[in-house]
Amino acid sequence: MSQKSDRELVDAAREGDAEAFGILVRRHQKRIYRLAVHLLRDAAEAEDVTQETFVRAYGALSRFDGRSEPFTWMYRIAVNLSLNAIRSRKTGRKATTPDDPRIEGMLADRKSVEADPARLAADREAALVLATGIDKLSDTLRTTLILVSIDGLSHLEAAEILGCPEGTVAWRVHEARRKLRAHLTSEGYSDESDES
Amino acid sequence: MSEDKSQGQKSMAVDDMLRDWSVVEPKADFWDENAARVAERLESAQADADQHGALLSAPLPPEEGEPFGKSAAPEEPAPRSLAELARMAVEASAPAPESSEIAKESLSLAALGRASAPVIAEAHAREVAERAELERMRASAPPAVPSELAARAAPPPRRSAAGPLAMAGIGLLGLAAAAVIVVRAQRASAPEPVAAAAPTALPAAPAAATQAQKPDDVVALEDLAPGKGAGASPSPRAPTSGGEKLAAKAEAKPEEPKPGTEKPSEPSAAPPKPEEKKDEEAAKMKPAATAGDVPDKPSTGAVQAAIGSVMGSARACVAGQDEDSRATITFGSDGMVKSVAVSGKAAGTPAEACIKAALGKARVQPFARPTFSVGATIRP
Repeated sequence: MSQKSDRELVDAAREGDAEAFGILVRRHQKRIYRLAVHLLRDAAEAEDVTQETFVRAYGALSRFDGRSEPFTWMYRIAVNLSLNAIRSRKTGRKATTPDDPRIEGMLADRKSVEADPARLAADREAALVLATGIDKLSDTLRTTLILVSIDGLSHLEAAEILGCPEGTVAWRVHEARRKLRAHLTSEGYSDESDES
Repeated sequence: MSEDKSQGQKSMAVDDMLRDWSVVEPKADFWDENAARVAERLESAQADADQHGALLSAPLPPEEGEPFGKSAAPEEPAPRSLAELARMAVEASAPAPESSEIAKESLSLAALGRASAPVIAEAHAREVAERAELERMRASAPPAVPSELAARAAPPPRRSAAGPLAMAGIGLLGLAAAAVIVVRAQRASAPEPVAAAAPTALPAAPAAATQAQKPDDVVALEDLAPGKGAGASPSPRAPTSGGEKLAAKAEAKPEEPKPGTEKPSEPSAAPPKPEEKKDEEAAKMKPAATAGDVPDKPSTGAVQAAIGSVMGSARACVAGQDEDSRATITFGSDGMVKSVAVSGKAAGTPAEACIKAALGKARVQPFARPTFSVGATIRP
């Protein structure tokens, strides 16, 4: 059962096979959670959205038309839920705080190899600057950048999730990177990726 | 991540940082608990269906200045015929039956005139409308009424007689708008607007945007033959590789459009065969290579797009695994992948060959350096 494709599992779940849907949940929950953390910047909310995504997806199984991959379809639900959660927040959360779960995530790998506290502090500062730059972007640019550059989705997959042409995704990623670069420059950083 | 330079400016490899950006996962048993909670909610019928489909609609509004500014707008209905547009324009104001007849006549004449000379049709339509107006004035002023009263009564009919003219004008405007929409839609499907809209701040970026517009990544996805990459591993997504996916899409296209959802690959509704695309791709690359203006290294966007296009199949290779794997992809100066080194959980397993086969299909434009390496994280 666990070797079945997503589409086969969706078909089985449509016919009432709860176990098949459970496999889909286990298969995709980490990715959905990671996406939600980046969109929401809050681990607790991300957990809620992860759970809600699958519950809502199950409720909408009958409307999955098979034109896209099941995971891009679930991603779309997750993005919508995350944006709804952001909009329903009583206070805007524009400022990026040092206890942001994304910062810890970025530094988690380095802590194990980096022993120099000064170096770790510099890394933390750089991560904070980068996260702040991303948070300054509009929801549209930020979400597209997260899907493509952080989550590693192709432009085609991101286009399916966001319901826009691939060219639009390419433009948004380019625009987001341009704005991000401007922010880094204003903070005294340069982007090594652009140096030839 | 960052290092101090002589001028005091710090630098960071943004691409690498974004790509390798993991999140701290919740406590170890969270995933099991989450799956169990979802199952519980489904069993207890708490799965309240999204009645209005709001969660299935396109999530984001278009960005300001976006060249394809129709992303999140409700999907347009099927294009109406010109006759339908004209009928709608006529029916919208619900004029008197005779004036709608006149307007229809005007529109049909205008339509005839499009084939020959629009000016003639317009003049003819105006003439018909004026004639109708005169007739209407005559009919609305009974002969028994004194001339003064008839003069007073005249203005209202005149006002209503302007309706046909206005209708004809609206109809013509509708025709013009339809033509503009068709032309814009054709432009939007062409790759140039992205490249043109891309600012020159990043010299390599327009090329990246253009490449993203070209069906390169589609070609790469099509190339994923089931037996080659994903098929070598117990991949859950293997049966839905490129060709089948496109076939499924092609089958699904005639269906009614889903509100708020656009079909990204719509412009390439009838894509050429993969071999033809490869030839086209090679033809596109050749002049760049011979022109002597090849970049030192492939642009960030181009590399990102190239890897992104094959990442889906690489991910399928590690589906079911718990940990991320890393791959270092080395491109040759011809833009083809020279080697792929896999490390992490997938190394030394059948998934390694699968990943190598998948990532080996990435292509970038030719560049000057002998090789260019880039790292990628493959997340299950």
